[in-house]
Amino acid sequence: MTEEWPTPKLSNLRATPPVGFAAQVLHRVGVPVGDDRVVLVDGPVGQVFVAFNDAGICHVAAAAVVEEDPARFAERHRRRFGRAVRPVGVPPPGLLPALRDGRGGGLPYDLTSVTAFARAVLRTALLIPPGEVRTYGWVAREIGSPAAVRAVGSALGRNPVPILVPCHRVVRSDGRIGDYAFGSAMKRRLLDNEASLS
Amino acid sequence: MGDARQPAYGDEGAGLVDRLAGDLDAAFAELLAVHGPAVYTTALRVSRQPADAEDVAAETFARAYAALRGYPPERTRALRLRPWLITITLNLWRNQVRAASRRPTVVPLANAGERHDPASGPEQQALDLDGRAQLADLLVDLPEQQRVAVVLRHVLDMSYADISAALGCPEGTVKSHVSRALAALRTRLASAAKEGRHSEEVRT
Repeated sequence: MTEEWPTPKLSNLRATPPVGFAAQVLHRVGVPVGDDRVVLVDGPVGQVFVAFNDAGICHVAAAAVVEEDPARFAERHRRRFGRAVRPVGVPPPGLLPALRDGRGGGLPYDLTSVTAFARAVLRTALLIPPGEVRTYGWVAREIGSPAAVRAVGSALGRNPVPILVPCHRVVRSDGRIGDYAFGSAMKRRLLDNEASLS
Repeated sequence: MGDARQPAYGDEGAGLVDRLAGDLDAAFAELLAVHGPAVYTTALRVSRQPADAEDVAAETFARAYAALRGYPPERTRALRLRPWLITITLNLWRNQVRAASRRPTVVPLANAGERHDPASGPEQQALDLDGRAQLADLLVDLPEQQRVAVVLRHVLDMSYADISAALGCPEGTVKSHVSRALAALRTRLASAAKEGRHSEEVRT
């Protein structure tokens, strides 16, 4: 068969499932995802605890907010997820470059602890590149719920995987920086650091 | 999170059926990693509604898990995984379309399905988005049988034998759907390109 027009590049239309998809399915069908494990690693502005299981990363906390104490992180983890977490030495693949570059989009996440609405909010936050910010209203519009600005704010405030899912890149429309789970000062440091990199 | 394996679309995962037959729970994450992209892409490109595509893809794997739980090992070992999964995906999608036709329509988020490639830079993303969105729009206008056939053949790169198995129709029929779909796409792309040049000329 001769081709007068080049075949349109249909392979460009390949898509990857949304962030957290595999974890969602594994939980739904009841496949065990293994113990939660935690590593302490260097983040963009100080060390961070990152907890993960076989389905993906499920919990991130700045080490400073738990006084660099693995036992206090474990306490926080159990309070939030009702599960134990065991310290390990080896970070999951891709974690360190994602933290260094501020690009957490390619990592697997276990976001089964939050609602579908919150997952949509977090997936949208992942689209904001390092060095840039968006408003709460922008996120609300992107997920198709332009009136849900406050709900977007609380979903971001309860982000189980901050820093990697960059809720710190979402700010108030009046130019103020807005709240942050680890305090506004940390949010400012994260943004200043990203501005200096780009 | 084991190895960060990113399988090619054509990769069936050597020995995966044996691992599924041996220990379903241990191997199921691999099935998701290997075939998740093809299943999700199929759901997304035939329907073009990102939220529905995720539901259909998740439901596909839930059904697949339930089926594999009930299959004797020899039946699992005999499966051709990709055509089998795609058949489930397409059945679920058709059921959903039928159910949705009895409900008020939801307006989809424009381009929302094109947006998750946060790994590439913003400029590249914008370029990719234009081309992909245009092509995806043209695809949606094709008649259903042509659209499904061309998605499986040229987006997923499935063999005609596998497509024929997935659709339950002869290879000759699949080939004719694919070539009609390509002809239609070429014509529409060519006229879109011409219009594009005209508008450029008008502007300058």
